[in-house]
Amino acid sequence: MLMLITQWANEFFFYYLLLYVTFLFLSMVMGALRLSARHTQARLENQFQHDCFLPVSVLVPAHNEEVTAVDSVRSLLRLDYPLYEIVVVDDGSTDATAVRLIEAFSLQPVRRPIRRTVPCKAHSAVYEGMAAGVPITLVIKENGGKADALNMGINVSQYPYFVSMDADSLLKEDALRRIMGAVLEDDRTVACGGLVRIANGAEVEHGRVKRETLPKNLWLLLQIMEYDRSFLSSRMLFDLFNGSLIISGAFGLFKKETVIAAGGYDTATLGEDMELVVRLHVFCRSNHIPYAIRYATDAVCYSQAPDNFRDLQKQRRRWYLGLFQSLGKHRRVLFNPRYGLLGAVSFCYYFLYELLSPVLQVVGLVFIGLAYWLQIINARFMLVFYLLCLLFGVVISLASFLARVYLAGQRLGVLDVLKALGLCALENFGYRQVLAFISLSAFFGYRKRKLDWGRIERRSFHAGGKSGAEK
Amino acid sequence: MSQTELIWIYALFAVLVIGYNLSVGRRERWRERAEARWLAALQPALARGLAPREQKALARRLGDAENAVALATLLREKPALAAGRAGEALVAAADSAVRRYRRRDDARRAAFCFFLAQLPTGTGNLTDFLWDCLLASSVYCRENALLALGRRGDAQGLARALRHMSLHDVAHSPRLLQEDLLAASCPPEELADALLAMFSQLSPPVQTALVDFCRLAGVERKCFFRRRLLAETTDDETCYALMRYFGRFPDLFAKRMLLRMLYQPRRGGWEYSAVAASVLRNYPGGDTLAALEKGITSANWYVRRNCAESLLALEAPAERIEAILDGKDPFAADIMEYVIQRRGLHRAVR
Repeated sequence: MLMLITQWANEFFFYYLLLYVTFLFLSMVMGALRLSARHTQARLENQFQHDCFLPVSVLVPAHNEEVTAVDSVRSLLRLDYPLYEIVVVDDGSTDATAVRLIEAFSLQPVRRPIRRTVPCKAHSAVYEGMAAGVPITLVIKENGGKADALNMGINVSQYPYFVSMDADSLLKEDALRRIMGAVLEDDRTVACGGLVRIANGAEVEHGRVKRETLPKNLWLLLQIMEYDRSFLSSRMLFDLFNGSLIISGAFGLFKKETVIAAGGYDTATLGEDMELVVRLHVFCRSNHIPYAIRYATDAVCYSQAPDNFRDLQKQRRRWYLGLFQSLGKHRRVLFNPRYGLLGAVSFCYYFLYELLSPVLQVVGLVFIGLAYWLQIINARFMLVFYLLCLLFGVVISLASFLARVYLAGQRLGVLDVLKALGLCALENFGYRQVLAFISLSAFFGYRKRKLDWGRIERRSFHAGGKSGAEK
Repeated sequence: MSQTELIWIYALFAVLVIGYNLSVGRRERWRERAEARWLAALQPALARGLAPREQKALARRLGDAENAVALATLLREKPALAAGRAGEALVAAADSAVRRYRRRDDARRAAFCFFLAQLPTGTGNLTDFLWDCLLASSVYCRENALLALGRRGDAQGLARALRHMSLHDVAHSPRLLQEDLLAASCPPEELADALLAMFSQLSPPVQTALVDFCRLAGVERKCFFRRRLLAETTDDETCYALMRYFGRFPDLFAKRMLLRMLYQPRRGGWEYSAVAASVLRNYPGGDTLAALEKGITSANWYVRRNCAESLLALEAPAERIEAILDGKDPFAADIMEYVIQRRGLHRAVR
């Protein structure tokens, strides 16, 4: 009986990996072709877009972000976009986040009512001001989490589209123009994600990334590879059939009217960004609203990544639980014919290869050990197969990294390429396995800390800047 | 084929994709150089007149959206190149190339519309193509098609195009539409009349854009707009635009409407009262001041704020402002104090 189960399990893992590799392969080929087409399209649009634009509100939820908030808003003031406003929501900070912003931008208190189109906690003060011709609004409210702060931002904002971002992120000068390009290309677009790059190690001057350099910290280097890979290896493919399930909370564009109709951000989940995107899919399909959820590879946002194991662990546990909650809440989408490829491919991928992957990786290792002990496994074949899969992963990571470098118009030396190759190897042989164990451990203490998962150290964008913390 | 071989093949393809990524950059540089060479050779040919063979080659080149955009950019910099016989040759080449764009994606169609916008005239084929583009889901495509139609200077043609969009329920942004109308090369009065003649067939966003266009371009059509303001069927957003129009072109009848809307907003919407309160600052007089003094006691914050702003804009006598500040209604006093503060003013009398 044990032998039968082990045999069956090994077969399952073999096909599980084969399916994954096939998916990665398809995704990368389609991704590369799409990137190239997208590049041509962007070049065309650059030349004919003249003054075509729609106004947009930039929402910046902040909780204890005194270290980075002013820099972030400064970077927003330099955006190359004709009409936008900045709405900072101080979500019950216990540090001097609001004071720093009020002083830096000479904000004045205003007494205007806020119409609650989506539910959020009460506010205690509203400040307004103008810097570099851009209106800035600061709302100070009770602590309710990032989703609640974004809901407040939606209520305060005045334009038909909004961009949600983190207070520790910086947008590239043309990021707003690029991400709004998705709406101008297709006005059915209700949401669009941007490309998130790691800001640690970058040289920042006057709230703008002046020069991108690779950081020395190994955790950061591995995350850079991981970010590049995730964007090319799945998101580009999902974008083809309107199947994107994730828009990073660090940088995403949404159509306000649709988000309000769908009920705004869910405050009861850790992964409010993913949950909203899935809900928009469900809402639009259920109500037969023609829609598109897009991904703009040329709209770049720089975000701070954890630079030590402890913070990485906290972040990934939160992400994993967010994924678990979102997929759990909308489980009816899985293989539901009403949702087409979204349910059959995107949802299935996230379920099998993102949610179950950490569990299967650990269980898989146990079964391989068992099969070896029972002598029912061709150990050599299994090892070669596993190594080949990992090797394929290395090639995919490298292709993604090169595609991103090419898109950014950067030049690499031989040494850089060798360094990237080494990192790709390390990312696949070690880092991913560590992440699997971290994700798996997320369930310990889940009930107790469902919505609150520690604090991550924040660093100033300027070299030698002091640290802060974010809930 | 075993699974291991399959994986090896995948890996090989992955390596090929890396090579592809690296080669794309080089291809682009080559393309840019070729494009520059083509444009340099085309300029003298256009000046002297194109031979039939050159005409065919130009049509073939224009089938590529990138070439069309490159040529459009050149024509925008040097409009003289598209004048006279050269213009006719370009229109003829565009007419031959247009069929290739009918099945292309929106980005390429938008690019071709941009090229057509640089031409002085068009043909029936080209107009049909532009009309098709007006119904695309791409805002770029619709905008460039409107730009091309607007630059032809044919007010009737542009009006018919907007009606075509309305009939197909194309929801184009009123702000963009209004800018397109302002950018059109026909006389504003002529364009306004062409559109007003088919007002009821236009969708609410187009109607709103048209009213705003008339306001910004200084086209006075008070009589027509009075009737629209009275009509119960007029869309809310269009009504707000009409009220703002009568802020630019004061009118006695409109004043009576505005005063009434301050207390009795249409369909009970406070937005009507707020817009009326704001527009009334263009109607100085005792009755306006009295209405605004009453309006400042409204239950809605925005109506109160706009009434306070208008009272100050109309330079209401200091004693009347003081009366509000010291009056029985704490909300009215509060908003007046707030607006005074925001404007950096000081109370004149205490």
